[in-house]
Amino acid sequence: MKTLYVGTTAYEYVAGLPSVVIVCGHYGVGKTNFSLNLAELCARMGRAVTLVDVDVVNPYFRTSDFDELIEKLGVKLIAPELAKTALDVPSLSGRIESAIIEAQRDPHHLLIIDAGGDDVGATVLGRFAPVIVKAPYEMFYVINACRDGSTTPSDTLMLMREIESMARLRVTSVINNTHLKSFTETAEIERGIAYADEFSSISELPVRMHTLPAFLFDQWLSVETTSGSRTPISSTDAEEYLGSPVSQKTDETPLTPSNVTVLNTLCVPSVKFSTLMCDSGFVVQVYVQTPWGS
Amino acid sequence: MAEKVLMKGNEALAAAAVRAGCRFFFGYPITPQTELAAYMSKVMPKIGGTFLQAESEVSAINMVYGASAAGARAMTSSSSPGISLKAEGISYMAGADLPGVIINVERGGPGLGSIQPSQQDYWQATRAMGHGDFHLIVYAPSTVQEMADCVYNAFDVSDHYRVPVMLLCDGLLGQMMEPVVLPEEKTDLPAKPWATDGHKNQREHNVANSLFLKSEILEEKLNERYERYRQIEEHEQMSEGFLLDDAEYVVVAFGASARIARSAVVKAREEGIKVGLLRPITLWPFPKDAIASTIPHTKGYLSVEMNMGQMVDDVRLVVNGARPVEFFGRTGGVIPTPDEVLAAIKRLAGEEGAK
Repeated sequence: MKTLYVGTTAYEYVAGLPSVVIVCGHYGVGKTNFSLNLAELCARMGRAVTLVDVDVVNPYFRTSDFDELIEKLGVKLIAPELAKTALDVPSLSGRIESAIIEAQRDPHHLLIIDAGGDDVGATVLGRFAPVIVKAPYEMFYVINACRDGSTTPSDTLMLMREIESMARLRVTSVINNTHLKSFTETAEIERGIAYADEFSSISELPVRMHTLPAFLFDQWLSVETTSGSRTPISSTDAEEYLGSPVSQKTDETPLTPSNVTVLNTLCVPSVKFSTLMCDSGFVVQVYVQTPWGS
Repeated sequence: MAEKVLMKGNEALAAAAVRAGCRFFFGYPITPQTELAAYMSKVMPKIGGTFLQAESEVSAINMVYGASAAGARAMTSSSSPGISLKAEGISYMAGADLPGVIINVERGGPGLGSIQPSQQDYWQATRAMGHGDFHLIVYAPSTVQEMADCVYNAFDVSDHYRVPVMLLCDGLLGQMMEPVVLPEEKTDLPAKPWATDGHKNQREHNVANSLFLKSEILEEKLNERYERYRQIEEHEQMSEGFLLDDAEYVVVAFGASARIARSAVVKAREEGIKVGLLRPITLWPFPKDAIASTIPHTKGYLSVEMNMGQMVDDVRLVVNGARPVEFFGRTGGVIPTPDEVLAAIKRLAGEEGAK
């Protein structure tokens, strides 16, 4: 269905991202985890990153909880004023709108807005939509086939429309984040890719990335050596392959653990990083479409 | 075999309750259990059930009383301060022998406290959930799967004994996301000939009542009820043992603390300390038999809780002076780390070694 392409390296991809990136999705698919990974990657690739936490729905596990980690990554954080206190009132930082305008003016900046789940969480985005639409933006819709409430592409699409309606913004691309946390196995990854492809088809949106837990790395990522054989690579070695050109693959070949090639491995969290995040760290494979099509 | 899906603890509680035949939910929002009520608000209308956000937690528990009296499987949920408000209503349910499920997703206390998790309501749940001589059956699940399974079984157990059941969870369990296999929809619900569901001139009319003005009758009622409690204590104790066979020291912990204690026990074993974990699943009836069976071959006990020391009293009662019983806890919403628990285990083992 989707071909894996040559061309864009991680650096170019990150450099090409518009300066306002929004992460939305069904409650509990992994938006915050993904946002943190993305922030780390973009900071490493040289953008000036600011993470904005606008989740006023979730009482626990919000981007604001990771303020120390975020600082270590060299990323700025804009959080609700009362974040990390016992006052669970829905409040937002007054600095958000000006941060959006500033990012739109300076292409070096990258603002990652981590929204709360579902249409309720996306309501906050609606307040900023008039400012956001004044410049190009990327709105990632994160999907997870294992998450109750969005296990079918049609349910997932319905949720997306509800989110778009409250956000007053359109989703631009999809992040397939299918996982069962530390219980994720190859079967879930394969199911997720099929689910994402079907979702891509009915939503008419590209799947920008498929994510992979770091502990499954060596089962899924391999590199073709000059002799033509494949060797699996570990997460510690993967750093070497960042930004290398990829080999092309045809549509017909189904994705299986043995024939997936290393493409642009964007985000390689260290073991320490992944244990701070949650049970599983995430590594991101990018399947990027080049303009000359399949 | 049903598929595993990722669910939040609060969602799993609601979904499993519905599959157990619960068609009446009366509740009120309070962090960290609001997702349970929100889930019910979405699902109940779709299946012909009733969701009501009551005007208060007091009102909600009285609605459960009414629905239960009429024979329905009814449920309410709240968090610590809200559970306190339900105290009178729960006592009334116990006094009228009405089944029902009450879920407490504990937060820090006392008072308004904090929104972070705690286990401070153990005494309340097992000893003092309301005025008068009565017991609730109290479950303490420690994974999202177990939360679904416990609430699913809670309705059956509650109906069978005509005793209200409480699930003592905490904010961490309510908010965490784990893979769950939801149980099958229950179709055969037990008949309730005592329910006030319309006698149609076929039987005497039933009365749901906790008022007994004649002392002898009230005493008789209490004796009969306590006979049921005795049966519950005999048949319904539940616990899980981990590495207990050759354990010289036993950590006793429930709910979220048990997950942390388990990691600490594994670490302690790696360092050569023969420690095991006894995890009560029912807090009432307390798993006395399981604990008592460990006494002959152990040297000491450590109760690990997210409070100032509550379940430790029950452990001491069972151990009855035969062995030392220590306590380790964090409170206020602070969650203990495996390393802190490991240090406490070492103190327990070290003290014994020194003797």
